[in-house]
Amino acid sequence: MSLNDNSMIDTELQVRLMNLVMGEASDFERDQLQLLMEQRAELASYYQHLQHMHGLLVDVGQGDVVSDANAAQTDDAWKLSVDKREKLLAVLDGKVTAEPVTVFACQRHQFETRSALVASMGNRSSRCRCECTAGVDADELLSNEAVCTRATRIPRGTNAEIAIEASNLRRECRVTTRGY
Amino acid sequence: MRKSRRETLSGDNDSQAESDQAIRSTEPTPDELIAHMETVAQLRQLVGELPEKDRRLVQLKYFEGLKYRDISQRTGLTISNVGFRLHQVLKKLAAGLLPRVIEAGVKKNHER
Repeated sequence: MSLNDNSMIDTELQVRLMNLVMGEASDFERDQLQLLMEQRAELASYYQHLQHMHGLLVDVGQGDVVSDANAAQTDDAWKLSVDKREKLLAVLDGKVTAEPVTVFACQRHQFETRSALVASMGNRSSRCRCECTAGVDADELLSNEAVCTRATRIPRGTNAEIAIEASNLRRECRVTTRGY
Repeated sequence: MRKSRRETLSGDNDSQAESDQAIRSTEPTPDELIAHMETVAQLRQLVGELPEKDRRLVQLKYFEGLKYRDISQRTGLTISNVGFRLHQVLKKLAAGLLPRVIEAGVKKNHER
Protein backbone atom coordinates (compact mmCIF):
# COMPACT_ATOMS: atom_id res chain seq x y z
CA MET A 1 0.00 0.00 0.00
CA SER A 2 1.14 3.55 -0.71
CA LEU A 3 -0.30 6.97 0.09
CA ASN A 4 -2.28 6.85 -3.13
CA ASP A 5 -3.48 3.27 -2.85
CA ASN A 6 -5.64 3.44 0.23
CA SER A 7 -9.22 2.68 -0.71
CA MET A 8 -9.59 0.67 2.50
CA ILE A 9 -9.02 3.75 4.68
CA ASP A 10 -11.56 6.53 4.76
CA THR A 11 -10.33 10.07 4.26
CA GLU A 12 -11.06 11.20 7.80
CA LEU A 13 -8.89 8.43 9.22
CA GLN A 14 -6.11 9.27 6.78
CA VAL A 15 -6.12 12.88 7.96
CA ARG A 16 -6.12 11.78 11.60
CA LEU A 17 -3.03 9.68 10.91
CA MET A 18 -1.50 12.64 9.11
CA ASN A 19 -2.11 14.80 12.18
CA LEU A 20 -0.44 12.16 14.32
CA VAL A 21 2.65 12.19 12.10
CA MET A 22 2.72 15.99 12.24
CA GLY A 23 2.63 15.95 16.03
CA GLU A 24 -0.75 17.64 16.09
CA ALA A 25 -2.74 14.84 17.70
CA SER A 26 -3.70 14.94 21.38
CA ASP A 27 -2.53 12.19 23.73
CA PHE A 28 -6.02 10.69 23.69
CA GLU A 29 -6.14 10.78 19.90
CA ARG A 30 -2.67 9.26 19.70
CA ASP A 31 -3.71 6.36 21.94
CA GLN A 32 -6.85 5.79 19.90
CA LEU A 33 -4.93 5.71 16.64
CA GLN A 34 -2.24 3.42 17.99
CA LEU A 35 -4.94 1.02 19.10
CA LEU A 36 -6.49 1.12 15.65
CA MET A 37 -3.13 0.51 14.01
CA GLU A 38 -2.59 -2.56 16.16
CA GLN A 39 -5.90 -3.89 14.93
CA ARG A 40 -5.58 -2.92 11.27
CA ALA A 41 -2.30 -3.55 9.49
CA GLU A 42 -3.23 -1.30 6.57
CA LEU A 43 -3.42 1.67 8.94
CA ALA A 44 0.05 0.95 10.30
CA SER A 45 1.37 0.66 6.75
CA TYR A 46 -0.26 3.94 5.75
CA TYR A 47 1.18 5.60 8.86
CA GLN A 48 4.67 4.38 7.93
CA HIS A 49 4.33 5.82 4.44
CA LEU A 50 3.23 9.14 5.88
CA GLN A 51 6.16 9.11 8.29
CA HIS A 52 8.57 8.40 5.45
CA MET A 53 7.25 11.24 3.30
CA HIS A 54 7.25 13.54 6.32
CA GLY A 55 10.90 12.64 7.03
CA LEU A 56 11.88 13.36 3.43
CA LEU A 57 10.15 16.74 3.55
CA VAL A 58 11.89 17.57 6.82
CA ASP A 59 15.17 16.96 4.95
CA VAL A 60 13.95 19.13 2.09
CA GLY A 61 13.09 21.84 4.61
CA GLN A 62 16.66 21.89 5.90
CA GLY A 63 17.80 23.35 2.58
CA ASP A 64 17.08 26.73 1.07
CA VAL A 65 13.48 27.75 0.57
CA VAL A 66 12.03 26.56 -2.72
CA SER A 67 10.40 29.54 -4.38
CA ASP A 68 9.19 28.08 -7.63
CA ALA A 69 9.91 25.45 -10.23
CA ASN A 70 12.49 27.59 -12.01
CA ALA A 71 14.46 27.95 -8.82
CA ALA A 72 14.35 24.22 -8.31
CA GLN A 73 15.65 23.65 -11.82
CA THR A 74 18.79 25.63 -11.04
CA ASP A 75 19.74 22.82 -8.68
CA ASP A 76 20.27 20.61 -11.71
CA ALA A 77 23.55 22.41 -12.23
CA TRP A 78 24.79 20.76 -9.06
CA LYS A 79 23.92 17.26 -10.16
CA LEU A 80 26.63 15.00 -11.48
CA SER A 81 26.36 13.93 -15.07
CA VAL A 82 25.31 10.34 -15.66
CA ASP A 83 28.87 9.44 -16.69
CA LYS A 84 30.46 10.97 -13.59
CA ARG A 85 27.80 9.52 -11.34
CA GLU A 86 28.46 6.01 -12.68
CA LYS A 87 32.19 6.46 -12.13
CA LEU A 88 31.57 7.60 -8.56
CA LEU A 89 29.26 4.67 -7.87
CA ALA A 90 31.85 2.30 -9.33
CA VAL A 91 34.42 3.64 -6.88
CA LEU A 92 32.02 3.29 -3.97
CA ASP A 93 31.19 -0.25 -5.05
CA GLY A 94 34.85 -1.16 -5.33
CA LYS A 95 34.48 -1.95 -9.03
CA VAL A 96 37.22 0.37 -10.20
CA THR A 97 39.49 -1.23 -12.77
CA ALA A 98 41.85 1.66 -13.24
CA GLU A 99 45.61 1.35 -12.98
CA PRO A 100 46.86 0.78 -9.44
CA VAL A 101 47.68 3.91 -7.54
CA THR A 102 50.74 4.00 -5.35
CA VAL A 103 50.02 5.03 -1.81
CA PHE A 104 51.67 4.90 1.57
CA ALA A 105 54.92 5.97 -0.06
CA CYS A 106 56.32 7.50 3.12
CA GLN A 107 54.29 5.65 5.69
CA ARG A 108 55.36 2.81 7.88
CA HIS A 109 52.99 0.01 8.73
CA GLN A 110 53.54 -2.73 11.22
CA PHE A 111 51.85 -6.02 10.54
CA GLU A 112 50.41 -8.09 13.30
CA THR A 113 48.09 -10.26 11.31
CA ARG A 114 47.85 -11.42 7.76
CA SER A 115 44.79 -9.30 7.19
CA ALA A 116 46.62 -6.29 8.56
CA LEU A 117 49.38 -6.93 6.07
CA VAL A 118 46.88 -7.03 3.25
CA ALA A 119 45.10 -3.97 4.56
CA SER A 120 48.35 -2.08 4.79
CA MET A 121 48.91 -2.80 1.15
CA GLY A 122 45.82 -0.87 0.32
CA ASN A 123 43.24 -3.56 -0.09
CA ARG A 124 40.68 -2.54 2.48
CA SER A 125 38.59 -5.64 2.16
CA SER A 126 38.79 -7.79 5.27
CA ARG A 127 38.09 -10.82 3.10
CA CYS A 128 41.36 -11.22 1.33
CA ARG A 129 43.61 -14.09 0.43
CA CYS A 130 47.30 -13.36 0.43
CA GLU A 131 49.71 -15.62 -1.44
CA CYS A 132 53.40 -15.11 -1.79
CA THR A 133 54.66 -15.64 -5.34
CA ALA A 134 58.26 -14.54 -4.93
CA GLY A 135 60.64 -13.26 -2.36
CA VAL A 136 59.61 -14.03 1.18
CA ASP A 137 56.46 -15.60 2.50
CA ALA A 138 53.86 -13.41 4.12
CA ASP A 139 54.17 -15.47 7.27
CA GLU A 140 57.87 -14.69 7.32
CA LEU A 141 57.03 -11.03 7.17
CA LEU A 142 54.66 -11.46 10.06
CA SER A 143 57.02 -13.50 12.18
CA ASN A 144 59.68 -10.84 11.76
CA GLU A 145 57.38 -8.00 12.76
CA ALA A 146 57.98 -6.58 9.33
CA VAL A 147 57.64 -2.91 8.74
CA CYS A 148 56.33 -2.00 5.35
CA THR A 149 58.00 0.98 3.80
CA ARG A 150 56.48 0.80 0.35
CA ALA A 151 53.30 -0.73 -1.01
CA THR A 152 51.06 -0.41 -3.99
CA ARG A 153 47.34 -0.02 -3.72
CA ILE A 154 45.07 -2.16 -5.84
CA PRO A 155 41.32 -1.88 -6.37
CA ARG A 156 39.23 -4.17 -4.23
CA GLY A 157 38.05 -7.28 -5.99
CA THR A 158 40.95 -7.47 -8.40
CA ASN A 159 44.07 -9.59 -8.60
CA ALA A 160 47.41 -7.92 -8.73
CA GLU A 161 50.98 -8.43 -7.77
CA ILE A 162 52.14 -6.02 -5.16
CA ALA A 163 55.71 -5.16 -4.41
CA ILE A 164 56.37 -4.52 -0.77
CA GLU A 165 59.64 -3.73 0.86
CA ALA A 166 60.20 -4.81 4.41
CA SER A 167 62.81 -2.70 6.08
CA ASN A 168 63.95 -5.34 8.53
CA LEU A 169 64.31 -7.98 5.85
CA ARG A 170 66.23 -5.69 3.54
CA ARG A 171 64.77 -7.27 0.48
CA GLU A 172 61.76 -7.10 -1.69
CA CYS A 173 59.07 -9.68 -2.16
CA ARG A 174 56.03 -9.99 -4.33
CA VAL A 175 52.69 -10.98 -2.90
CA THR A 176 49.48 -11.63 -4.72
CA THR A 177 46.30 -10.64 -2.98
CA ARG A 178 42.80 -11.49 -4.00
CA GLY A 179 40.01 -9.40 -2.60
CA TYR A 180 36.58 -10.95 -2.77
CA MET B 1 53.40 -6.97 21.73
CA ARG B 2 51.20 -8.92 19.38
CA LYS B 3 49.90 -11.09 22.17
CA SER B 4 49.16 -8.25 24.57
CA ARG B 5 47.21 -6.38 21.96
CA ARG B 6 45.17 -9.44 21.12
CA GLU B 7 44.33 -9.87 24.79
CA THR B 8 43.22 -6.28 25.00
CA LEU B 9 41.08 -6.63 21.93
CA SER B 10 39.43 -9.80 23.14
CA GLY B 11 38.89 -8.50 26.67
CA ASP B 12 37.41 -5.19 27.78
CA ASN B 13 36.85 -4.00 24.27
CA ASP B 14 34.47 -6.82 23.39
CA SER B 15 31.38 -4.94 24.48
CA GLN B 16 32.67 -1.80 22.80
CA ALA B 17 33.29 -3.73 19.61
CA GLU B 18 29.80 -5.19 19.73
CA SER B 19 28.40 -1.73 20.31
CA ASP B 20 30.37 -0.34 17.39
CA GLN B 21 29.17 -3.21 15.22
CA ALA B 22 25.58 -2.48 16.21
CA ILE B 23 26.02 1.17 15.30
CA ARG B 24 27.62 0.30 11.96
CA SER B 25 24.77 -2.04 11.10
CA THR B 26 22.28 0.82 11.40
CA GLU B 27 24.37 3.29 9.48
CA PRO B 28 23.27 3.85 5.89
CA THR B 29 25.54 2.50 3.19
CA PRO B 30 27.00 4.92 0.59
CA ASP B 31 24.42 3.64 -1.90
CA GLU B 32 21.60 4.34 0.51
CA LEU B 33 22.95 7.80 1.23
CA ILE B 34 23.15 8.62 -2.47
CA ALA B 35 19.64 7.25 -3.05
CA HIS B 36 18.33 9.33 -0.17
CA MET B 37 20.01 12.48 -1.47
CA GLU B 38 18.57 11.87 -4.91
CA THR B 39 15.11 11.35 -3.46
CA VAL B 40 15.32 14.57 -1.45
CA ALA B 41 16.52 16.44 -4.55
CA GLN B 42 13.66 15.00 -6.58
CA LEU B 43 11.18 15.90 -3.86
CA ARG B 44 12.58 19.40 -3.68
CA GLN B 45 11.97 19.78 -7.38
CA LEU B 46 8.41 18.49 -6.99
CA VAL B 47 7.79 21.03 -4.21
CA GLY B 48 8.94 23.75 -6.61
CA GLU B 49 6.38 22.57 -9.13
CA LEU B 50 3.45 22.69 -6.67
CA PRO B 51 0.74 25.32 -7.07
CA GLU B 52 1.55 28.48 -5.12
CA LYS B 53 -0.91 27.78 -2.27
CA ASP B 54 0.36 24.24 -1.73
CA ARG B 55 3.99 25.32 -1.92
CA ARG B 56 3.24 28.01 0.65
CA LEU B 57 1.85 25.38 3.01
CA VAL B 58 4.96 23.23 2.62
CA GLN B 59 7.19 26.21 3.25
CA LEU B 60 5.32 27.21 6.40
CA LYS B 61 5.34 23.65 7.73
CA TYR B 62 8.74 22.34 6.71
CA PHE B 63 10.92 25.39 6.17
CA GLU B 64 9.54 27.51 9.02
CA GLY B 65 8.45 24.61 11.23
CA LEU B 66 5.10 26.14 12.15
CA LYS B 67 2.27 24.31 13.91
CA TYR B 68 -1.17 23.99 12.33
CA ARG B 69 -2.46 26.87 14.49
CA ASP B 70 0.24 29.26 13.25
CA ILE B 71 -0.20 28.15 9.66
CA SER B 72 -3.91 28.76 10.04
CA GLN B 73 -3.26 32.32 11.17
CA ARG B 74 -0.82 32.96 8.32
CA THR B 75 -3.01 31.51 5.58
CA GLY B 76 -6.57 32.08 6.75
CA LEU B 77 -7.34 28.38 6.47
CA THR B 78 -9.07 26.65 9.36
CA ILE B 79 -6.82 24.43 11.49
CA SER B 80 -8.58 21.29 10.26
CA ASN B 81 -8.20 22.48 6.69
CA VAL B 82 -4.48 22.95 7.18
CA GLY B 83 -4.17 19.26 8.08
CA PHE B 84 -6.43 18.23 5.22
CA ARG B 85 -4.54 20.32 2.66
CA LEU B 86 -1.12 19.17 3.88
CA HIS B 87 -2.30 15.60 3.66
CA GLN B 88 -3.35 16.17 0.05
CA VAL B 89 0.01 17.76 -0.69
CA LEU B 90 1.91 14.81 0.76
CA LYS B 91 -0.13 12.42 -1.34
CA LYS B 92 0.52 14.49 -4.44
CA LEU B 93 4.25 14.59 -3.76
CA ALA B 94 4.33 10.86 -3.03
CA ALA B 95 2.64 10.20 -6.35
CA GLY B 96 5.35 12.23 -8.05
CA LEU B 97 8.18 10.27 -6.55
CA LEU B 98 9.19 6.96 -7.98
CA PRO B 99 7.12 4.33 -6.18
CA ARG B 100 10.15 2.10 -5.78
CA VAL B 101 11.93 4.89 -3.91
CA ILE B 102 9.09 5.18 -1.45
CA GLU B 103 8.79 1.44 -1.01
CA ALA B 104 12.54 1.09 -0.46
CA GLY B 105 12.53 3.84 2.13
CA VAL B 106 9.57 2.47 4.04
CA LYS B 107 11.06 -1.01 4.00
CA LYS B 108 14.36 0.32 5.32
CA ASN B 109 12.66 2.28 8.10
CA HIS B 110 10.57 -0.73 9.01
CA GLU B 111 13.69 -2.91 9.30
CA ARG B 112 15.17 -0.42 11.76
